[in-house]
Amino acid sequence: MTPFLPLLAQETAKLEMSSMPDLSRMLPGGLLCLMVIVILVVDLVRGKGPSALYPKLSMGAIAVAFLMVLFGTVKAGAVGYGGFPSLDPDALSRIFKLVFLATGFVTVLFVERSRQAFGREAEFHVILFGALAGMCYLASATEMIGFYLAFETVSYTGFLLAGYKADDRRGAEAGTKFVMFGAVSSAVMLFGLSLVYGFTGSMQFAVIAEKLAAAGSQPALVLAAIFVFGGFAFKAAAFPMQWWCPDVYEGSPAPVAAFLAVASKAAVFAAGLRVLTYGGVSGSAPALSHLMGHDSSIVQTILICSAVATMTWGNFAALRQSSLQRMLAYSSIAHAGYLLMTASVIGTDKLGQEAMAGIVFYFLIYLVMNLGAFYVVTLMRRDAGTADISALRGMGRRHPVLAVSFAIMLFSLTGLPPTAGFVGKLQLFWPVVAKGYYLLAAVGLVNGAVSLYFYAKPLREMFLAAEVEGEETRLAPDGVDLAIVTAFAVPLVILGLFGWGNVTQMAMDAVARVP
Amino acid sequence: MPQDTLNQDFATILVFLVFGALFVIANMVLVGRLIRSKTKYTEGKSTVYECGEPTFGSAFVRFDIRFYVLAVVFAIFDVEVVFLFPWAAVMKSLGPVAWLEAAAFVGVLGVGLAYIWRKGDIDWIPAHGHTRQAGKTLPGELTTVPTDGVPAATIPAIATPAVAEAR
Repeated sequence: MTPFLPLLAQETAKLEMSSMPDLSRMLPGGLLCLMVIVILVVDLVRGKGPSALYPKLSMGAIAVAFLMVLFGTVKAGAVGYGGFPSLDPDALSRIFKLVFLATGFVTVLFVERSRQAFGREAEFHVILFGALAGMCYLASATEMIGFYLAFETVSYTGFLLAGYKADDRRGAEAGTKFVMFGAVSSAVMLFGLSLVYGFTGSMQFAVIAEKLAAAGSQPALVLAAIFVFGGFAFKAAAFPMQWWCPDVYEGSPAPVAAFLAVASKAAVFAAGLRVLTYGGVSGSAPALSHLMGHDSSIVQTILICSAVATMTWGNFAALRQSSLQRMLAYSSIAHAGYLLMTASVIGTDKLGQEAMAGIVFYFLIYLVMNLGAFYVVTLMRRDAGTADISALRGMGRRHPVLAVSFAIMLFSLTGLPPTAGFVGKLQLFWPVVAKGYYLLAAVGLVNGAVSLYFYAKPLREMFLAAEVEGEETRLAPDGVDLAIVTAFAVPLVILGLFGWGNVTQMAMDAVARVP
Repeated sequence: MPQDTLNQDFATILVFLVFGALFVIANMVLVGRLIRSKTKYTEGKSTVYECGEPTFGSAFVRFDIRFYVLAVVFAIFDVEVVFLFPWAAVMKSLGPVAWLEAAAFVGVLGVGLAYIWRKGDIDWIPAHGHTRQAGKTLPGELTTVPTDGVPAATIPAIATPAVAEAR
């Protein structure tokens, strides 16, 4: 004990003196962490009872954080204590942070509009801020400890959000299933990370990539890659860890399902892109993706196998769903498959960067179309008390604005022109084709055709199916609802027709480490 | 060759594993046979040992979930103390930054404690939401069930009836 403590003091003092971290670069995440405490204290002072204060407070704080990220300058260089740089707030993490914060803002809006009684209302916002902070750190983590902490923060808050309505049977089921799968996948990933550390002796992604390139392909590393991918696959809802997804999305409140489907998935893809392509602060060190070009690359093999299985499973399972919320869960799995397909060709060369930009671009589009679709589910749950597709029957005549907007979102999710979803799909498929993986792209295209069938189901109910006397749709959207739905649909058309060039440039800048 | 050094590093671990396994097996099978008592099976040997207390009842009973909440809160502050010991030992040499960091750490935990306290999560009888029927239960009694207006007969026994009976 005695010799240890002075040594520790020495070491810690060295770290402290060498560099006090530049905290300004951690500001958006810090603000989100602070909001966790602030809302708790506000709740303490106010006492019990619901209040309109919390949504306003949350949306205000998220908007401030969003503007801080949007207008804040991106300074090159990693942040961390002493010799342990752990966060690199570069352009890539910046664009993903915008996605998370926008999703968080919209989620609070949806919760407000769903008019559901959320017990212990303040706690919901506390957990949401925890999740957002975790995602922001996950997107910029450059070493394993920070990565794992942020990953678990996102997971735990996700469990709590999914099971937030614990008195509801389905809600409790969703929360429990999420926890069970999460615990297992987390253990598996941790084991994989420990193997990686055992082989490379480093926590830094850049150093690990360098050491792995030298070590070549070894059985233990293959095992490690599979295990680490297991953790990623869980959060991305990709095969073989996708089983929790439909039940959790269906059992959670619709706004929470929207949050999980967009923000959580974006967070894990942000982390995945960083793990695969991070080459140190200067970007000059070899990244893991350098190893992916070879035929024998285990990482690429895993990604391709999982991509094919994920999109096929998601699309075919979605065919038989009658609940819109559940169908969107399977659709979210299928989208994870498309994204993984493109992730298998990412790299630091030009084509690899285009693939990365395609993924970033798709998330920007996916954010709009998927959140819009989940808002329709929120309305269905609120007014009709069900997410069954048949509740939409006759919408085309009764609420044409809502029906047409929803149709645009569905077209976009399918990837049909002239919507932004088409451009997004194009950017996902193009690098795969250009790389010469024709078979993989063909599987993706066939899946796209299959998805046409189930995305058309709500359309048929809304526009073609005849209303049954006395069973007219109970959806009663007011002006605000219509405004929100339109606000989600219009950008999809505008981006699909002419605005997409700018967004593509944004995505290209983000992956090229340009601030 | 990095690959060779990697393998050599793991060879050490392999040696440890092999010797560890041998150590356990040798002690259990060979050494243990020489040392241990030759008395055969008795009734007392097969009973559960629980810190010298005679055991009673089955362990497969439903525990009140409030034990769990208290245990989690306890664990948090237990770990806090573990973190504070090394900090306290080196605080002087680290200066005000270390003090501020620990203050933020304890402060966050303090807010959490105040929160659960205020929300009644560490009261044995929740302060809100539940009304205790007069004369039916006593605080601190293991069989206490918050009835919340539900007839007592419909609530399954949560605590340990076996304990109550045995006493």
